[in-house]
Amino acid sequence: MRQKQTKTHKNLVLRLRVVKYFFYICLFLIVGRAFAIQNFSCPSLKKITLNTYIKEIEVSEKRGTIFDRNKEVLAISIDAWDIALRPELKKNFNDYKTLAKITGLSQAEVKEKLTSDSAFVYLKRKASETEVEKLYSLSKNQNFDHRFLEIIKTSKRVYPNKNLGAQVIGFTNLNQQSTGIESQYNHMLQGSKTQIPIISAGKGNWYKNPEFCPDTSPGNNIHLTIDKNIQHIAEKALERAVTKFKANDGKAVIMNPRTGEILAMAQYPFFNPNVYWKSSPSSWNNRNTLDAFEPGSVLKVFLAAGAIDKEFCSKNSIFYCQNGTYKVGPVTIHDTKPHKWLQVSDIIKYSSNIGAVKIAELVGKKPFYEILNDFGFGQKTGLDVPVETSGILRQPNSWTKVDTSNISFGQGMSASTVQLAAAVSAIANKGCLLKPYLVKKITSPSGKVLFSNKKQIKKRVISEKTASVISKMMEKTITEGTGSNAAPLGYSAAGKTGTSQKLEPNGKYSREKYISTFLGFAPAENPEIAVMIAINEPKEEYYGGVVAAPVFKEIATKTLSYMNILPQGITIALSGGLNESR
Amino acid sequence: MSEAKPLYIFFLFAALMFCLFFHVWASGSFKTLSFEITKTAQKKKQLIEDKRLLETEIARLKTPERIEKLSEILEFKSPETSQIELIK
Repeated sequence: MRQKQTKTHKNLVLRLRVVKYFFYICLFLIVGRAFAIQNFSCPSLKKITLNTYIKEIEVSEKRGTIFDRNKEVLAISIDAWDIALRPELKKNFNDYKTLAKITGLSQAEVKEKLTSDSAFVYLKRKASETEVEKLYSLSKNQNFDHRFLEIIKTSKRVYPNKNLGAQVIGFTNLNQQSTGIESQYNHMLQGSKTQIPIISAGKGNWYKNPEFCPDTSPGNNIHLTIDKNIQHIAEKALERAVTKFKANDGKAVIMNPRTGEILAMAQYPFFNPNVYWKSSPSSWNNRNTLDAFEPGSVLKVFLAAGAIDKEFCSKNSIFYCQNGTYKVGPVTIHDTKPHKWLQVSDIIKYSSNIGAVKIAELVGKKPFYEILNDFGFGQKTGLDVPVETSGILRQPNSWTKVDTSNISFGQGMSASTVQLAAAVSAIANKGCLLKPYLVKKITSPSGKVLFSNKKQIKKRVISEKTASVISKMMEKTITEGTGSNAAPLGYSAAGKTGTSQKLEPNGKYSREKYISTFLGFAPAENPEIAVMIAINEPKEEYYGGVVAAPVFKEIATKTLSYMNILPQGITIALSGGLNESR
Repeated sequence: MSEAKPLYIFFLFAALMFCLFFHVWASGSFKTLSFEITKTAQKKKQLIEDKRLLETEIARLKTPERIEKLSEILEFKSPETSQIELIK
């Protein structure tokens, strides 16, 4: 019996030991597994764990600011919010009126979006902070499902001056489309983009992982050569002329002839880049660089300058102007008023077509081509814009006698307003052709200058003496000739009028459609501005001296006054009580 | 010798506890500081944004179009040449 009890006890102890060792082994396995998980399976498991409370978001910094030459803001990026909805979670909410009032949308639009079948719809993009705040308060009052409303922070581009210089500055939109400077310097303007991890802090709050410091920065700032006040003067003058003469459109370029800086580049009709979709895409383009047109008689000054400089004639040379009618091959050329003998200066002053043809015949087509080529016609100016035309200037070997005579008074070739402004600047700048430019400098967000533009002389096209002679001739055009309507108040000026017939689709010159042009600079003796104006298809009146010259007058008078250039004839009070007149 | 053993274990346990508490306190402080840094960075960003908004507003107010309209309301005019007198 006792032996039986001892055997049973031994069995029990053995079983207990088995159970004990079994637990030891289990414990060892658990500890071993934990050790293995902790030390050998770390990266993959860590990733799974981190994914539950860390997520990555793309952060893009704001675009840089575009300033005018006086550091006035022309384009800036500010915070905006995209408001999105999940219509299936709207429950019983149907107060479309309140939602429409907050977002500025129509009730129909709100209803359409709220009753949409889509799982996710944008109610409004680029909404303001006030709109978002009102929406949050509505969400609180209406006890929305927290997933119903989604507010996504983004940024929007604002053009505070609306249409001012819109075609030069351009615009950029959600689809990364851009025009103007926004497009040309997109790589400099756009802010850096990066993926940053954010950590959940519970209750829907997220914070940035402090261990991760991404090296992001906003885009660089661009400082243009444009002066927003001069731009405004030019735009207003153009608007008035285009409206008065019921023209199709108008263009104007104002340039500093001594540096090549573009001070204003205006065109009418305008468009507002803040709501660019409301205007026709054709108005978005910068027509001052894109459109080439036959410039008309303004070209005569370059022909005269080249002819005198290359000594084909002198300023006193006289040409017989055929009493107003001259036959070149099958074509008869007319002058507005008949003239007999005219000096070169008078040909410019009275804008004689026949006189210009006679000079061109004397010069010959190859040297004439070289003169125009020297002044930059037929080639791009190199202005920092996305698209620029080089105009049309055919090789001289393809010119007929009629072509040569047509080109002498600015038909049969084409140029852009910026090319013409650069060419007249060469005369104002004592014969040196400069490269025009729009961007003065580019700075980093901290203000460091990354790029600075400087005056670039392309070449000397005429001598200083010839430039002075031509300036005098152009001055006479304003004081005594066809450009009398261009005389600025209180300032001297030099200029030339132009009127060109437009080509009809059948290849013939129209008798109803004209382009009125004027090019000049002021003050004549010490030029501060060079101006080129073109008014397309004015009605009733079409002569450059009537349509475009008054635009020059307005621009030159107001711009020089704004630039604090002392007008002639003002009284200077001297400290001794004496007065003198300037 | 046998009495020193519990004291040694006590100190070891105390040191371990201290390390644990220090670790908890340090990680807590780290989190608090992280939140503070993030908050300050957000405040800085907000102030920069406010500056941008103010710059935009200034630009809107200084629009030549608006100034011109105001000058018309106030009947301001550019002076004629004869009205200008330069004092040297």
